Amino acid sequence: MTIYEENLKALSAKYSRMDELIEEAKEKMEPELEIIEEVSYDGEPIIKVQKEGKTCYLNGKRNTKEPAEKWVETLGKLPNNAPVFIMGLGNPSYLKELAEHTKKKITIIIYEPSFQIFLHFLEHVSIAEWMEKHMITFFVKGIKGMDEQAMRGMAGRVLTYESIPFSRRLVLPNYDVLFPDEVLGFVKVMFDIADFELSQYSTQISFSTVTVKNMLDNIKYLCNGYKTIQLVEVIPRDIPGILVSAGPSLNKNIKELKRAKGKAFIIAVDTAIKPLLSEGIIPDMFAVVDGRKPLSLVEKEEAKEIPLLGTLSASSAVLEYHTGMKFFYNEGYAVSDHILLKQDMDFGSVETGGSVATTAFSLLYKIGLPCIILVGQDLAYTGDKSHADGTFADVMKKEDTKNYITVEGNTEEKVPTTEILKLYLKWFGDYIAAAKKYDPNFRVINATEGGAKIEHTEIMTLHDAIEQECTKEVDIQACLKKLPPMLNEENRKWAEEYLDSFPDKFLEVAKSANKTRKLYKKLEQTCKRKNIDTKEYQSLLKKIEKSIKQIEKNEMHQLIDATMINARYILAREQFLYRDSLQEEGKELARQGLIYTENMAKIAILFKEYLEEKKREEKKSMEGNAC
Amino acid sequence: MEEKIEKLFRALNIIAMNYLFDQKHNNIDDIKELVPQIEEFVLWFLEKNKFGIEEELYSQMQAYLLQVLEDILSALKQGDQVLLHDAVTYGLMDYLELFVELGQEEKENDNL
Repeated sequence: MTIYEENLKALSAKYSRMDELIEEAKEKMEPELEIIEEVSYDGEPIIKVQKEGKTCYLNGKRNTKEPAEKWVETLGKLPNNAPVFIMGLGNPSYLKELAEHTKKKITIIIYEPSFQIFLHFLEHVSIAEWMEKHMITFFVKGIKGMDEQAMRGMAGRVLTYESIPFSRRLVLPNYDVLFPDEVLGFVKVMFDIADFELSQYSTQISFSTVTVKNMLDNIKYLCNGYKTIQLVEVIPRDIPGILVSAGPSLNKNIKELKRAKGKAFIIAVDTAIKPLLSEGIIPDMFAVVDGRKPLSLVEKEEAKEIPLLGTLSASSAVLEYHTGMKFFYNEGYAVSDHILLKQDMDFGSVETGGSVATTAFSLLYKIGLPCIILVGQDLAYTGDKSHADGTFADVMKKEDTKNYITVEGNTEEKVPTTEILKLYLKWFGDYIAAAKKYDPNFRVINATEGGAKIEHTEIMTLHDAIEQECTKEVDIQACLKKLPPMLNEENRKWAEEYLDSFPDKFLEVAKSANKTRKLYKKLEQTCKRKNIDTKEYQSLLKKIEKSIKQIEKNEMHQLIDATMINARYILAREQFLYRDSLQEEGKELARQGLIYTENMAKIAILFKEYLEEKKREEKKSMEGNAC
Repeated sequence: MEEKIEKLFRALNIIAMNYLFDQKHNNIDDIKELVPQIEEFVLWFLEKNKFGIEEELYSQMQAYLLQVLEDILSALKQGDQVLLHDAVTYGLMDYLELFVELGQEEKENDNL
């Protein structure tokens, strides 16, 4: 077997179909550079690359290894799971040194902007052992599903608030010369995620309990609900999508939207519902993702039957009030994915981007609509207002924006905005840029007629945008009516039974948490002794690890974990930190573990009781109705 | 000349350390500024066998130094940071070190 074949085998064992994707890309590959192989003075194979009139070595011809050795030295002791991002594989010494000289199992994420260099690497460097030792993921420009955007998703998962201080990043020398745009993109991804994580942490703390409560209240809607991926089957692709947000500029052109009805797929964010209905415009769908949105924002009789794009963590009051078709997507919760994947249907994901508007925008893109028109998407305090009139108040009051940051406007030179809106602004720009890369014909028209300028959009009045794009008649409601619920009868019954098992599952978690707690107590006692018995210590750690894995297998664990953000943060950081002695390390582990498992058991019982109480209430109400 | 060599060695050493330990790979502009001093040293070395090195070895050293210089100039032309670091750190600096007392002292200290 050649090195290349061995590598493909190792890759596909970890990531299914990766071998096929590489072979597929190989067939389609169009050379964009020339790789010249040489041998260094010390007999190592090295390469230089010729691209757009530039010739650059990727490894030194006198000393190929020292730069990589020194880099790894500077990283210090890397803790378990520490994320290391590397751009470039042209000099494999860097990956080799990192993989072979890092004792703990770390997460290595590699982005290679040249498929040719990646192929050369696979043909010459054996990676199987390194992949066994560490969690290594490769992203390569030109390989479907493994490109920069996929890397962004992966980076978002591993680069968390807790892991940021322990993360490391390297752009291999000369990559900024050969691939300047890609390097910029790579570094930007890292910074964007870090910014986002830092801003989200405080929000997560305040939202965590509400999120899980909503989740437990809303999950029942999956039994008769629909999946967003089903929309692809019925929504025609020759009409535009219109995203109506509730920015202050919406009041300027809301009336125009009447002309688009029946000629586009109109999706509104929850806050825009009232102003739209007041103008007699019924959107084809509205989106709600926020766990704390007050019901009053959508509390209108006409809103009840409008199809809804929801998340399970969205306000349960809104979902309960709403009686029409509800569309959901895979959000990564084990409990809901279990149901969503029951019916043999593709995995349907929507990028959340952090807000209801970004979620709805991503849905329109994922449906495959060729053009999306943005309305009321100010992402700024246009006219010093936060939202359109008729949303939170009939007339929104003006805010004092003199200390606000400003960004370039659509119609004004500068508009005031907030840090969080600026993050969304960035999200839109990046998302559209990535989408356009994938499909150069994809267009986004910003018909907000005010607010912040969104990169890669065409600025137009809504009147002109409708005139130009909304040329075909379409009956969206008739299209949606063709859809069956995502679960067939048999699977629906299964899902209902599965939901009934939740209280028992919470009880199981509580029991397992108490069992683990006993192990932590033992660990604490072991570490208090003068001379620590290393064998006993290691055996206890193994037992704890096994016990925790057992808890994590239970789908309810994820929900409990989500309500324990602070505890999780402390523990998550803990896994990256070293202690001076085994005793100290053990004592600290035990201390944290005791707190964590005690909280976990308490919360599991609370949720169990909450669900049982809900069940009793539902039963009572059904009996009342029957009487 | 020895003072000039030491000064050049120190300047290049900082650039090399930045490259190796701080991952500041963009060494092009910094080394470009030192080209006159580098050329002066090369000419000085090639001028004559000042230290009574065995002739054959001296010829080899001359040829290799010219190759190093060629690599440096080619790297500067192409904007090739890897070749530049390689030629300077593992080529030119080895020569400079022969004349730098400090380098010797540091080596001795390392050995201790």
